[in-house]
Amino acid sequence: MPNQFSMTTRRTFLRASGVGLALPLLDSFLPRRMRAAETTIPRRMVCICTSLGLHAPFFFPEKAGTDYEPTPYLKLLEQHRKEFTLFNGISNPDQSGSDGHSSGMTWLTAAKHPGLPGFRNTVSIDQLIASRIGLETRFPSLQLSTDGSSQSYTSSGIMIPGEQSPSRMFAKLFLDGSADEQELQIQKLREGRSIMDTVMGEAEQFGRRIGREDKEKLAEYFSSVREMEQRLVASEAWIHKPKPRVDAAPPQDIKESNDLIGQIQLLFELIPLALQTDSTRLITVMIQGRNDVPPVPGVSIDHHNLSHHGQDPEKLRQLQLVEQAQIKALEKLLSDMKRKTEGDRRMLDSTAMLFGSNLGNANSHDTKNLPVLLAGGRFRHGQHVMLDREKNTPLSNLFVQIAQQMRQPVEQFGTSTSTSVNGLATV
Amino acid sequence: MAILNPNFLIRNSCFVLSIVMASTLEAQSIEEPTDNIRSFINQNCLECHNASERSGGLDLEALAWELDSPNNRDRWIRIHDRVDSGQMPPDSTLTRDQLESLTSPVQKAIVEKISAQQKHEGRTVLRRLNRREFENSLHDLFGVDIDIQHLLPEDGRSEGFDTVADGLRISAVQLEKYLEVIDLALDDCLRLTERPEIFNKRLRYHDEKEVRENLDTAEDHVDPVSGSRHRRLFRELDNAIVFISHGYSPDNLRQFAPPATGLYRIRVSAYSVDSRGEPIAMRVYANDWKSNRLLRYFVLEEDKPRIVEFTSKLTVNEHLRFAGFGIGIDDEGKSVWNVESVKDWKVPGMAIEWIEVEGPLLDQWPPENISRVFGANSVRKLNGRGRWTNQGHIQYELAPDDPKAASSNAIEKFASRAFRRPLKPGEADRFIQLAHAELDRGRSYEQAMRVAIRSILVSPRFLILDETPGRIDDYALASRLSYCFWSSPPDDELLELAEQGKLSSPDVLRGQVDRMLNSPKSEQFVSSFVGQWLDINQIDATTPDTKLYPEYDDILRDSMVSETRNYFRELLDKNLPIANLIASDFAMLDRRLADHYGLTESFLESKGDKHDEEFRPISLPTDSPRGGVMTQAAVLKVTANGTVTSPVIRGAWILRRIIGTPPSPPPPVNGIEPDTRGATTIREQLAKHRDSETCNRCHREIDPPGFALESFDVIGGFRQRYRSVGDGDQPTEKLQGRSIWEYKLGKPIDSSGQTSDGRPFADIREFKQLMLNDQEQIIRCLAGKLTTYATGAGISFADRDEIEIIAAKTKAQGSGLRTLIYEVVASELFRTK
Repeated sequence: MPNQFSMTTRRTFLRASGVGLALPLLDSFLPRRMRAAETTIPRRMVCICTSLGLHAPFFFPEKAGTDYEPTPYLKLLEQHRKEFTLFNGISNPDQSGSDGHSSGMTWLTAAKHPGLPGFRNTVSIDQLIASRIGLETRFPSLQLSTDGSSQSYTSSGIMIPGEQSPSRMFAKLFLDGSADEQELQIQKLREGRSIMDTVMGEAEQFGRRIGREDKEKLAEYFSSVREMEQRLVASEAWIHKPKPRVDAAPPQDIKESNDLIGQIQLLFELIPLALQTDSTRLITVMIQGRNDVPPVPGVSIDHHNLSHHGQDPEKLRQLQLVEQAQIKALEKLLSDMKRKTEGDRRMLDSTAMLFGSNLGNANSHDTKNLPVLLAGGRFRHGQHVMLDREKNTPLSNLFVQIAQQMRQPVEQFGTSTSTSVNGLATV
Repeated sequence: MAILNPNFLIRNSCFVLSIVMASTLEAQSIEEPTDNIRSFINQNCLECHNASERSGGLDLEALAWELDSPNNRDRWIRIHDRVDSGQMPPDSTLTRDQLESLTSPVQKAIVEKISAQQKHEGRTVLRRLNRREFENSLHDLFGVDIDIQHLLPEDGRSEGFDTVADGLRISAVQLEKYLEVIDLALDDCLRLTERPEIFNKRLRYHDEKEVRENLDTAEDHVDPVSGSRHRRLFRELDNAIVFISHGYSPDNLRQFAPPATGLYRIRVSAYSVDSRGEPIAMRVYANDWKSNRLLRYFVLEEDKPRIVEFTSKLTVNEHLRFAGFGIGIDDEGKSVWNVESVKDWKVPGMAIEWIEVEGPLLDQWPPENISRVFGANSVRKLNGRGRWTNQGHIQYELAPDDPKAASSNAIEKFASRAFRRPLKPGEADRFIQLAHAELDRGRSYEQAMRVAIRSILVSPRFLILDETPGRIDDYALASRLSYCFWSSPPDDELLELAEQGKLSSPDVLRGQVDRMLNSPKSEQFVSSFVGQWLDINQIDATTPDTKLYPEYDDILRDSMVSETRNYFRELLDKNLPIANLIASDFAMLDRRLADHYGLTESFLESKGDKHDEEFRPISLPTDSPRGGVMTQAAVLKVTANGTVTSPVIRGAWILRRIIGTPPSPPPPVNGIEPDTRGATTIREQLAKHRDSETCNRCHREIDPPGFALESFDVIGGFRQRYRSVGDGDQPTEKLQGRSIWEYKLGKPIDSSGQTSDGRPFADIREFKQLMLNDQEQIIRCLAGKLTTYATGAGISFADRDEIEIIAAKTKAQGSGLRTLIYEVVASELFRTK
């Protein structure tokens, strides 16, 4: 269905991606739902950011093209070699910010100079797409996280908190509450709507302001209330529909808060389940290992410290162990995504899976030459795309290309300079 | 050149035209650059800042004169500042007059532009409460103290502070979370269960089951599973249990489980034994079987029992733990795990005689706050059995005689408190109707009230500070003051003064500033202003490398943070000169930091009747590198990454935070690759950087302050040599009585340098003296930071004159920190929107 969006004009797109005024975020889902009768396999995106980077020499191969020699990390992914592409020389431009890790806020938004005076974050690519897909799925998007933060930012630049608890996320996705709980839920939704009605009237009284920026601030408030109302209405529609059943036991949350890898594994297991049931089509995962020692055999130093290895061979050895454990979790996720099928296709084929980091070199907090791997999503894979390591390609170009491959009429996003990345072809 | 480009002029005039048509703004500002500006740029700047070279990323050929666009305006302000300070054009021989042919028309145009807008709209944009203020407001309204802020999305920081409107965005996510946490606060407020039992007992570790087992097992007993010999981790005395294990001890105090979440009074009697005349520390933790929360720590002296008393909030699933610091290692470096028997073993230990716990400390039951929120006489005891919920056995309910009248009354009162000003007639009607509608649906009084309260607390009058352009009214002033100094809503006294119209009179205002700063609630100001201004809130962003810094622990961490807060507090309370931020003849220290700084002797001389963990001013030896904020451990820690230091980061930090001349963001070139193998130093690496003319242009400003701080390591210790995990010599000093094997001493430190204008310094002491030559700049910088924090808006180009006035008035009165705060509050910036 290449023309699925022919009804959607460029103007409505611009409105949705706009500065945060007018924001008709969710009303775009109605006409699409009528079209949903056409049988189609939905297109999805999963973005995984490991915020302390990946040690580049263990990640990037030397040779460009298809016959590269696998590095220690790529050896772990060897069986999927034909299913992913590595990008070398890609990054968000102008990421020097208030501290060495502030680019964690902008991996999916590409806003410049995070945290410096005048900085305002912008919408993340997943949220831009979510605002278009709307509540066609039970959840427009999901945010999974090892620490409660996420890479998803609303159109007003606010971070959507990430869910840390796999069991809570599982319940949210697949468990219908008891009759009492559902009753309470319905009651709460109804109350929520009355509250929004009331404050809307209240805000109109409060809202007689002169200044342009004051008006903008209040417009932000109004559109938040309206969006909240729409979400409450939509949630009410969903609450009467039973949640999908899945063939998996509810996960037990990890007890040790330092068990980064265990946490990642559990979160990753939710991804194929959520996608398979079409509970959502957009997932972001934030892997934030800061100051804990992860219980990986052979590791005795905390992850953040390891990333500042200062070329200490012992730290590099331990860093490799932590990062390999993450890559192994990714390997399993890719296998799961290949195993699950819909029609005659593997789920991986309809899902663009982006894995990478906002740091190219965590030792020096360098934000250039990010490690970026893209799997699935109907692209021609199997190669190491060597771009200019001095003048990097904007990561936003890749976002636009992925969005278009999801049939979204996105022409420009963030700092994009093109609608595709040189060397990445679609299927 | 774009500013001469005809296309640009057309575009620009259309833009201006539309502005003029769209608003009543008097647009008399300069619509195009004057000839002076053009010819100055042509003659002096275009050689480097042209379209092909774009030196420093600036292309003056393409830079438009669009002063309405904030980004564009900022570029011009930067150009003004660079030329005004003489940094640009580089190495020029231009006279002051020639420089002013550019700066003065640019300044005039920009100030006009901003002032016109400020007059019309105010300089502060309507701002919502940040999450800290939101939490405190809920605490105040409901009389609860649960953690709320960490359940809310993190606030954006703009201009370095979380009080600035620009960073405080609103979204549906935000509203959703507000509704959730308000419910939690209401749950915590509505304690309708039976009055909790009060625990009140004296406990002894003698009676602790695991301690008993450890003591009662023979030392030669061999565990059949592990095959290892039993170790006694305690020693039993008649009056006390002595902790003698350096590492693990079964030290959970299981005899006390809090009967309810609440405030508890804890008293302990303890002392140290065989501690070589040195004090040891007793740490008191609350533990929920998952993680430890350090409540307090106390320093114990040898053989002198000390009774300590404190109150702390404990939750139902927590229990207490006591752990010693500086115990369990003997003179030969042996611990309990490598001695034959502990019987006659002489080792530093912590003796605990007894522990008394009393609580929860309650006044009235059900808590008074319920009546404050839900109306007087709304609480009624349930007849008969009550009911069970996950909160416990419910014994009370909210059931006023006339629910509608009661709810109207309670909502009026609550809304007025929540909105921080009296209501106009009918202003609460919407909320009252909402509650009445719920009652009409047959819902209970509690349910109806909860809906109304939630709606009050997500409405803009609560979430947003209500300020209108021009001088703000007394109620808005009351809120500005209280959210500035307390991060909380105004109290009754402030609101009464506002009601009487007295608050804005200068004497009253000054008196209130004193009252607020003298109240314990002003700790909120100290911790959040200092925490953000000096980045102290980032103290846990990195954990120091345990191999390079084995002496770092949570006590040192807490002491670091406390030092900087206490220091600021001391300047504030005694109104000491702001120059003390740069250099001072005293430091605020506790014993742990004094040891860390090598100032134990000075500390002991000033001991008096204070305990070692209490902070006090210590006179510094004349040759001490300490004094001022830059050499405080917390600052030195947050400007390092846990492994290595970088003069670039620390230098940029000083320019931004202390001097107030922020460097441009770094260009997209690769940074220096940190290396701890001992073969190369950061200065050697940087030298290469500075050889390049492009890099050096900025780095000659940035690096020197950082060089001066090179003699401080990542945890703020003074160093003469780098620590290394590779090459180097064995350290000779000891750590808690044992020798150090974790790291070696590598290459020597060089903390000399010269300022960008060529003044040399040998070390940090000399560097501080150079900085003291420009105290006015330091006052100006701090005035800007305080004003930004207090008013919720950054310092614009047009505000600079006002900041100058504040700084000058402060200086004329002796440059005291408190004087500066008086002047900020008295200024037009604080008193207008």
